[in-house]
This record gives sequence, structure tokens and C-alpha cells, in this order.
Amino acid sequence: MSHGGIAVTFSARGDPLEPVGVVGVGPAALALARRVLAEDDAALAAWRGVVAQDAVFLLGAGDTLPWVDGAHYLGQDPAAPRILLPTTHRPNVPLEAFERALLRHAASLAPPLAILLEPRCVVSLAEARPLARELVQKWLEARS
Amino acid sequence: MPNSHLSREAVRRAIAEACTALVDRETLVELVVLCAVAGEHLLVVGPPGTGKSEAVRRIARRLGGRYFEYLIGRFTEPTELFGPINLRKLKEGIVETETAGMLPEAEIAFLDEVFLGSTAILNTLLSLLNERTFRRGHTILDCPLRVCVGASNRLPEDEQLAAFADRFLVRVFVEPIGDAGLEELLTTGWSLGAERGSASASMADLDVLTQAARAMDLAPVRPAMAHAVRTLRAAGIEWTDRRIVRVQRLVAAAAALAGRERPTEADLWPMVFALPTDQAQRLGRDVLRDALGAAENESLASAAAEGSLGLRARGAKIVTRGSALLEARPSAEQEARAWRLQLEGIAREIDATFGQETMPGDVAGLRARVVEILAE
Repeated sequence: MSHGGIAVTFSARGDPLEPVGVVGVGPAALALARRVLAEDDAALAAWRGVVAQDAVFLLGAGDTLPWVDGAHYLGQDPAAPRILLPTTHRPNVPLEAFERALLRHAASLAPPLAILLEPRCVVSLAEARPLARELVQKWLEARS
Repeated sequence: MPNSHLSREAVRRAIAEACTALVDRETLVELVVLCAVAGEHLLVVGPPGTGKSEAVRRIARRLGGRYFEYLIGRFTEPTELFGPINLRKLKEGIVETETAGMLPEAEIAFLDEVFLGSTAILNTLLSLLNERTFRRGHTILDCPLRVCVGASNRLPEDEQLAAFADRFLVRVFVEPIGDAGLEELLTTGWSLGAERGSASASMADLDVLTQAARAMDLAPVRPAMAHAVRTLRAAGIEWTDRRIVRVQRLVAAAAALAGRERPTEADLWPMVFALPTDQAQRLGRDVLRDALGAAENESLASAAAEGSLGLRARGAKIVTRGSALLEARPSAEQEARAWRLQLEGIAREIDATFGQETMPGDVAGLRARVVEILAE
């Protein structure tokens, strides 16, 4: 990831963030969608989500988030509240500066922005809404 | 110290058994043991009905010590804690206290609402806590007290009471169980009254570990401790010199309970619990994050993890909890779903805490077993 000529790398953090979201990409997205559909409507209503072409994002209280193998958890560092980072990694540049640069670089995307490391990309979660079972079902059927 | 390994194992068993069916009070139980080995006292601050007394009662039962528990009120008489005056001797002009079964003869004590005690009670308690001596009238007794746990809804603001509170080196701030633990709380709370465990360790085991701790040379870790104190001061955290000196006892006790012959930087995490307020502890954990990164204690996994927020300690805590959960696989179909959800919780905690490059081997092993079961 490079912004204004500075290459940004990520390294493991010794102080993992509390999860506020989970993302599945590729096969993990399919597994996450199936896992979500196994829940009742009350549990679904507690999460907000975004389904993208090849990914499923869920936001919610950390200890209610589902788990599937291969999913990644996202957290919010108080130093950069408008972006969601992998709970286990931090950029090698000051977070405040990283957030500012990212928001400027991706000006067309409304925050909060989720940073994914594999594949490396930035996704806007501004459209996250309470999960509708039909939407997830349709998304899953289109990929089965 | 030929018996210290056996004593440590016995104490670990006592902790594990005391924590069975207790929700989210592992740290409190472990800190009671740490204080008992260090010869220090512990103050639990939190609202009523949050399992404080149950946690202390359970570990006291498993450690097999003579236990004394009392809820102090504004009108509590000294005799209710220390024993009645011997009336026969009083006729002879001698003020002697009959202490049988009372606080002066207790090895582990729990005093709820400890700051509500009268001046007479607090003064007598002071020498009991400081010197392990009971002095009242003509009665002067050496007390076998290993640890006194005081409890209160809040820290006292009164200066004199604050000075008394300073005698409780370790502070634990408890909150009601969070939303995620409510199902477990309801399930375990239902059967809590039936718990009647016998002792799996003894005061002799504690004494062996206390001796091991007191024999330790702390010189190798003093520079790191001094650095940590300077870091805390730079962050605006003030604590008394008495606490700074006495925290060495906690570090030595942590090392003894971890099975180390001399303390290392892995044993500095108790410093956080000696910080006097909830706010200071939160800030302290944060500013000492790097200094406590190596924290680890097999016997006190939960307290080490909570004190340090270090990855090693967190990994050890997850492995302890996860392994216990795997062993508790239910046979009944209706319990299986709740059990699988708890396993998912372990997997979530692992994946949210560790990247591939930081995941310890034992955590990776646990994860593999959990993933295999969840895939069934």
C-alpha cells in the first residue's frame, strides 16, 4: 500500500484491537454467509453488514461476532477512528497520518473504511445496514 | 526446595477447582493466591452481588485454610470480629479475648464493607494486617493470617480511611458480568449452591511457595522495575513508596507460582494490580504494554493476561480456557449447540488476537483442534 510515495507495510501488533467487525473473502465469505443464515432473526438484527462482490462484512459487538475459518477480524484504534484495521496488525507509519492520507487518497469512498491485507484493498462500510436474510440468501445462491 | 513443585501443582489444582463454574472471576481467585504467597492483602472494589465473596470462599475452601468471613456494618462491635471478652477473667480485672473461631485465628479472611468498621475495629485490624499480631486488652497473639481480602463498593475518599486502604497492596476492580457471559452465569449460578469441594492444597503448600519467594534474589529485575515505575510516573500515575517497595513481594510470589527459581521480566505484571485506582490500572496497563510484553504465568494465567495485556499471557489464558472447554464436551444434544458457540468464541479470540507470525505453538495446536471439531 503506497500513499504519496511512502510504501506502507503492516506488522503484527503486540496489543491486538478489540474486534468490532469480521470479514470473509472468497471461500471464507461463503462460509460466513452460511454461518449468518444459521442464526435466528434476532441475532441477525444485532449485526450490520455489507455484502460485496467477493466479500461479506459484518459489524457488531465483538463477543457476538460469528467465527468461520479464514475470516479476519477488524478493530478500531482510537488514534484512527474512521478506519477499521485488522485487529492483529498495524501500519508502519503513525496511525493518525495513515488515516489522513488514506481518506485523502480514497476521497470517493465514505468512511468508515475497512483495510484488508489479503487481498490488499480498502472498502467503504458506510452502507452497512441491519442484515436482511433474503439479501444474504440471494447473494449466496448467486455464488452456489 | 524439593517440595515446591508438588506444592505449586496442588495450588494450581486448587485454583482450577475453585474457578470451575465461576464466571469471569478467575483473576480474583488467582490474585487471592498470589497475595497469600506474597503475604500481602487484597481489596476488591465493586458493586454488591458480583460474586466477590463466592470467589474468595471457593478458593479458601480449596486451599484448606481456616476461613473467617464477616459483613461489617456501622454498628458492628469488635467482639463480632475478634471474639468475646472472657467474663470470668474480666472479674479478675484482666481484659482477655476468646478468639477461638474468630478473625485472629483465621488463615484466610474476607471482610465485606471493610471501610464501614469503627475506629476501634480498624485500629485492631491495622496491626493484624501489618504485623499479623492481634492486640486487645491483655491479649496479644501472633496470627496465622496468610491473606485478608477486604471488599467495598468504592474506594474511600476520607484521608484516614485511605491510609488504612493503602495496607491492601493489591486492588481488583470488578464489574457485573458482561452481556456475552450471561447465559453461562445463569447456567452456573443455578448449580452454584451445590458446590461442596474439599481442599486440594494446604496452608503448608502456600508456606513452601512463600519461602521460595522470600529466598529469591530480585536484583536481576530491579532495573526493569525501576524503569516501569519511572514510566508510570511519567504518565502521571502516583503511588506511595510503600507500595513500590512491597510490590517486590508480589513479583517474587509470581515467579514462585510460575515455577521459576529467580524472577524475570515475565513476572512484573503484578505491578499493575498494585496501582491504587481503576483509572491508574487502566492507564498503567497501557503505558507498560511493552515492559510487560513478556508476562506469563502458568499458575496464574488469567491474572497475568489481565495485568499485562501481553500476547504470551493472553495465549496462555486462551489455552487454559480452551483446553478445559474441550474436555467438557457434553453428551446431550441440547447442550451441544451452546458448547459449540463457546468453542467459536475461543476460535474468534485466537483469530482476533494472533496473526500467523505471532501465534504461539500451543495456541496453534488448540486452534487446530477447535477448527476440526467445528468442521464436524
